[in-house]
Amino acid sequence: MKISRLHIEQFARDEFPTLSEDHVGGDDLLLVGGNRSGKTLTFNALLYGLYGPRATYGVSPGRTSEVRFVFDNGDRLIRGGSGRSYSHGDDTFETDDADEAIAEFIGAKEIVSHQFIPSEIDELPLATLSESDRLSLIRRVMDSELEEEIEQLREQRDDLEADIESIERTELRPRREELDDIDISRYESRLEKIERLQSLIDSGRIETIKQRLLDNNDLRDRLEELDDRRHAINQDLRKKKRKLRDRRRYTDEVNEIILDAISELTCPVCDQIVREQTAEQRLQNGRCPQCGRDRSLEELKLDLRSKIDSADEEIEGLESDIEELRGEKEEIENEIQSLQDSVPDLSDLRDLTIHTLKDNDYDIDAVAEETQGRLEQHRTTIEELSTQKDQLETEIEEIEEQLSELDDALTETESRIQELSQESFEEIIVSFREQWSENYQLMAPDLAVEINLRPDGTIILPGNDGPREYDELSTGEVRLLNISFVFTLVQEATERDDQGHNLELVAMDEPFANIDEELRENTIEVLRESNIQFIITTSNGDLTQRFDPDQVKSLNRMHIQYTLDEIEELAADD
Amino acid sequence: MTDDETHHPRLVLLDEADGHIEGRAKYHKLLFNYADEEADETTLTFVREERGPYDPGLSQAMQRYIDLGLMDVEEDEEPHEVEQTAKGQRYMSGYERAKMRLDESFRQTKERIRNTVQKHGDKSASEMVDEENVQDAKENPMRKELK
Repeated sequence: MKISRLHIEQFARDEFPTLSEDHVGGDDLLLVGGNRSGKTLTFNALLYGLYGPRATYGVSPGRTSEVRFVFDNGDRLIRGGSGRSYSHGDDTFETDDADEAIAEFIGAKEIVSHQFIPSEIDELPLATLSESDRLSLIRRVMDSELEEEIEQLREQRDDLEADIESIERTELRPRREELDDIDISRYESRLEKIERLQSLIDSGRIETIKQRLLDNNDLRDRLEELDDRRHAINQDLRKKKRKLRDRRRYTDEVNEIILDAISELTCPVCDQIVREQTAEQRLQNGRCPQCGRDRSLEELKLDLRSKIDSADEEIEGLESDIEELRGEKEEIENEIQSLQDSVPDLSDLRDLTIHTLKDNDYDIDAVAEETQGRLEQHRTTIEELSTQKDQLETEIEEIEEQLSELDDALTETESRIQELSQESFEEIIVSFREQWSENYQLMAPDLAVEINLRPDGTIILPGNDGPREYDELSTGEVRLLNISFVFTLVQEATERDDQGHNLELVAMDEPFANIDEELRENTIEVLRESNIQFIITTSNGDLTQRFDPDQVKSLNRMHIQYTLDEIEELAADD
Repeated sequence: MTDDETHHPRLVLLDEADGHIEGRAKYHKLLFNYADEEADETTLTFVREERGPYDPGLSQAMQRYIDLGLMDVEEDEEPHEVEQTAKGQRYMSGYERAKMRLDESFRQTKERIRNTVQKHGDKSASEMVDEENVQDAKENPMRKELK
């Protein structure tokens, strides 16, 4: 399928000259013009006409633009500010249906848009495609079913990875944290103390203890004082420990702290948190992990870094405070012990006993009642915590089993992707590479080198000082490599009728800059002799000699309509 | 699904309290009062700790908000004042505007939290501990999850 007639009107700028070519007839078309003659705009207009504004290289088409194509099979495509329509036979498709018809009758945007070779080196197809995308594109053109299968497996792999990440984050991690928080031993040791007090009550020894304390005011006051101090130390210890836990957070790397922190914030629109993997990639690429925009996070990172820098010192300080408090507590406990040892009948006295007696004003009935209540409470708590712990352990085990199954499925999917990629490399990529090398050698016989496309998608060309990768090539080589790549791609696609690709067209914007005359002539010869339609823009008038006069269209310089003063006036009117 | 799932009730509470709460203990108690008196079903859970109801997730959430620069805690003086930062204020303003337009139930959560702040915001943590519902909660064994 080629373009027979072409009409472009008011594309992107009011001064854009209407381009109406009714006699293209599927032949090549050379658009020649100097600076500001609209060559790049025309190139973008073709892309816009096929796939809409997002397909262009950053050109906004404007509301009054219109692009019309008539193809050599009679199909028609119109796109403009008022919408798009595609006619095939007696059927006409509008809006979304038109998009579907374009994909069906012309080809998918993901393939066809690479048939448009822009002038900027950074925007050339091989520069914008990642290594793996290069292979995917070739596979898609050469064997779309295989690529579809690999693509489905990749989606399956991504879903599995997302499931694993989500289960780990939302199900496993919170349960593990909850389990870590359950400290049954604390309650067991407390219960032991309560039970000891209960035994003193049961045996009646509490009465003797009470009497000894009431008989010895100094001893009682000192014991109460020490008990109060111990209580205050315990409270202080709890606070310091919490602070220590908070500070220990800052022994992580800055990025890890940010990634953990954003897991607290959901998006107000979708109510989801950003996937950890996505957030991590964004951060690594210098973007905001939450919104993905290219924002400087320096202020936040500096703040966190200063916390990290001071964390070690603070942790050390807190640890030493905690150590000191523990020492003080031990001293108090030793003093209590020695006071107890100094008085007969007080050897059974424990901190809880002093505390409970004091709290209940030495009323034994009240002490007994409180102790009974505490016993019940603690036994219930321990029972509940044990049940909770067992339940969490069972749940964690189940989740781990589920994760292990998902991991197995992931490994299997990955190995299938590898297997298919390897097979496809041997059967498909190698064959494409040979054809590409052949075309490249035809276009540049003097360079006459073989292209090596590796299984990871890296492109290697030989050089005098050893192999050279894509970004080590000269600008001319890069251009020729891209032209030969796209040319091979369309050749291969055209040979295959069942790959959902029908457009035998390559459009190029100033393709021969930095290419010497001899190479340029060779390349044009190869292109002109092929059955593929070429639409080329150029500022080089010499190229017209290689085309029939009716295949050449001269573009005139677009005039600037306004002076700076007029622009200011227009802006003021707005 | 709970009524306030994905509504960030802890952040909304600080925002409704004009970005200022006098101490962690008060923060826990205000959240408890919201859950106990206003919310039908909430994502927040509470356990009985020494000084009554305690939100076990608050500490980690606060730490994350602090790391993102949305909140600050004045550690030098007691009680440790919890402050919403200017960035936190901007975030909540945008978040709430979006939520109000997209999620009808958010308005209800916000109103419930506002009621809690109006009713208890001026009280100290100790005053709230003395109140009946907190005392009732303290009847439970330590670490028990409060329903």
